[in-house]
Amino acid sequence: MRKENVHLVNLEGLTKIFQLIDQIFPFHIIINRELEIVQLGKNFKKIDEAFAVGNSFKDHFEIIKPTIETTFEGFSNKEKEAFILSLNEEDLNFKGEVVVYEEEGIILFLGTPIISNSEIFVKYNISLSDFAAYDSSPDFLFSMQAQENSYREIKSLVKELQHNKTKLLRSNSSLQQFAYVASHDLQSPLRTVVSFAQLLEKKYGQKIDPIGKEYLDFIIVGTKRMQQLINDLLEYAKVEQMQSNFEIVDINMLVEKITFDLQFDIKKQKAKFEFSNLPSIYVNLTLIKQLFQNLFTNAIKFRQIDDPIIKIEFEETADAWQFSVKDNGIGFAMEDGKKIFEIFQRAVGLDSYEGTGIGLAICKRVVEKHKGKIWVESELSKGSTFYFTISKYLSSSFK
Amino acid sequence: MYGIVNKGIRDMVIRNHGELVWEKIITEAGCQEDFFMSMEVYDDSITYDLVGAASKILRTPAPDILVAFGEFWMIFTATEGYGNALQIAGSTFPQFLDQLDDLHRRLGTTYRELIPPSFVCEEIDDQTLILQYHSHRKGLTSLAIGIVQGLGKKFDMEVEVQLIKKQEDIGYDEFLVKYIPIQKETTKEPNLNSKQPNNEKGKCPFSEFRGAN
Ligand code: HEM
Repeated sequence: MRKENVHLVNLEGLTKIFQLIDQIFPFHIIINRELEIVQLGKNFKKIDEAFAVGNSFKDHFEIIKPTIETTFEGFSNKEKEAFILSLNEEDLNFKGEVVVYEEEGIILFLGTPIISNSEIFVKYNISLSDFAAYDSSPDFLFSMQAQENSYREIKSLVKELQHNKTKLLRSNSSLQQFAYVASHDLQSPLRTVVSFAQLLEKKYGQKIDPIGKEYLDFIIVGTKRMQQLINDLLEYAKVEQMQSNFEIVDINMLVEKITFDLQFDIKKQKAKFEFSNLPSIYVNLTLIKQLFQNLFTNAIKFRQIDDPIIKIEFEETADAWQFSVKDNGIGFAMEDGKKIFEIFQRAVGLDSYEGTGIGLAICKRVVEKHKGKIWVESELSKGSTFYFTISKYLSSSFK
Repeated sequence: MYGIVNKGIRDMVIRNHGELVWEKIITEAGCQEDFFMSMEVYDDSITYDLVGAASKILRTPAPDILVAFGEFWMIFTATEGYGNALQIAGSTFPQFLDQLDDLHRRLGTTYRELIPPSFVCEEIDDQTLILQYHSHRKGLTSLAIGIVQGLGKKFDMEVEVQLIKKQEDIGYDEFLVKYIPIQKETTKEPNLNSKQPNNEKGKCPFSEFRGAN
């Protein structure tokens, strides 16, 4: 096709085309049958003053690809292939293709420099405006830089993340250590305080006046409360430190076992448990037992006049097992809905009930260790429903 | 705008005023995150909020913040790996300005959601040119002035930029840009713009407010 077209134009006509070519391919080369340069793209003069029409192609260029003999025929045979030319003894390469006009005896190399770094631009005095608008080869430089930049950014973010993780782990472990020290080492001096206060009351109670006795009572009550708080903290720290595995647990059987363990309270409070068809799922037995037990104990403890009825239900979602524990107890205002899962935080109005507010904090940690969520819906004097989820995708162990 | 812009603001503030001031600025701006990914597009309002907050915390008028940021932009992009790209975008000050559209257009093949400004450059004589700044955004005149001044510094030029027509009147800004080569020996800085404190290369002009809170 191309050759037929050229048939129609004489060489004079070609000059116009050559001008056009120079605009669209500012890095083109035209050579004749003798491999002399007939025309050069306007940018070559910028690259090197020595470029001139009439010079031999071979004086300036070397063909890197494809492997051909540097002759007119050599070019003709590889017309459709990608060419890479190199400036002799320079690090500047050009990629492109050749078009051969057999009858006119000319070869056009239409190409552009290969941009691997910006030094090439500087060294050869080329700038963005030397490229035709459609030619995307300099864009490569920008995208390379953006890529490098993003890579650096991600690397520094990962470094920061790792640094923070180490810091967090360190502060976590010192927190755990603190909890351990607080709950363990404080126990014994506290025991001493309690026993000596009690001894004081027993032995010298007669000699102390009523106000002094009242003070002594405050000391005993206060220290006992402190003992309770410390024990709870120890419980919480145990959940934190627990390293164990997941296993398949039949939740029906687990709930039966817990209600058996709690039978004393259940009978005393005339509580009724309703559940059926609970699933067998992959969990940590010790922790899940503690979770249900804490929820059940609360449901029995925070009762109203009616006998407690506790309903356990279950639902499967796309990626989790969702349980609910519903009671007909005193409930609470939803403003406290988030707070109650925090350590030693309790809903307003529960001061007359025993407890420190550790139970739900433990529940929350247990659920988190199962990659789940825990939340509550409640209304004052209308009961509460606690929901929690257990992920279906737990790896075989956790830390 | 792409995160690289907000990242530049962060970099400038931290460099000149420290992390604490930056913390204050993002809190004031109500920003959710304090780190910006260069290649991520963020809502323009974040950039405007950051500039507003910086203005308040540093007790500096917002346009001055934008000018300072514009000047810093040239240093920042170079440190972000675009130093080379800047080298190829023109070997003289007027040539660079003339090729700005090409630069942003070529960046656009990588930053695909770029909404770049457009500049039309008309050389009056070898020390004067008229620059039109067409933007899809509003209120960034001072940023453009700052970048042009920063660019001048790259070419060791004393640059004076004067706003002669305004976006709000004709839809784009028009600047009269005068530039002369800096005499290397004389260290005295030119009177650039009467509103601008003189500054050395690479130093944020509002760094004198260091410690302001
Ligand atoms: C390598 C250097 C440069 C890079 C990487 C760059 C990149 C960018 C980017 C990412 C934006 C944000 C646009 C968006 O996200 O939609 C932008 C905007 C802008 N750029 Fe550049 N730029 C460079 C050089 C310049 C120069 C030399 C000027 C000179 C005046 C300039 C003038 C502007 C202006 C005024 C804006 C504001 C956007 C607007 O008006 O809408 N830039 N540039």
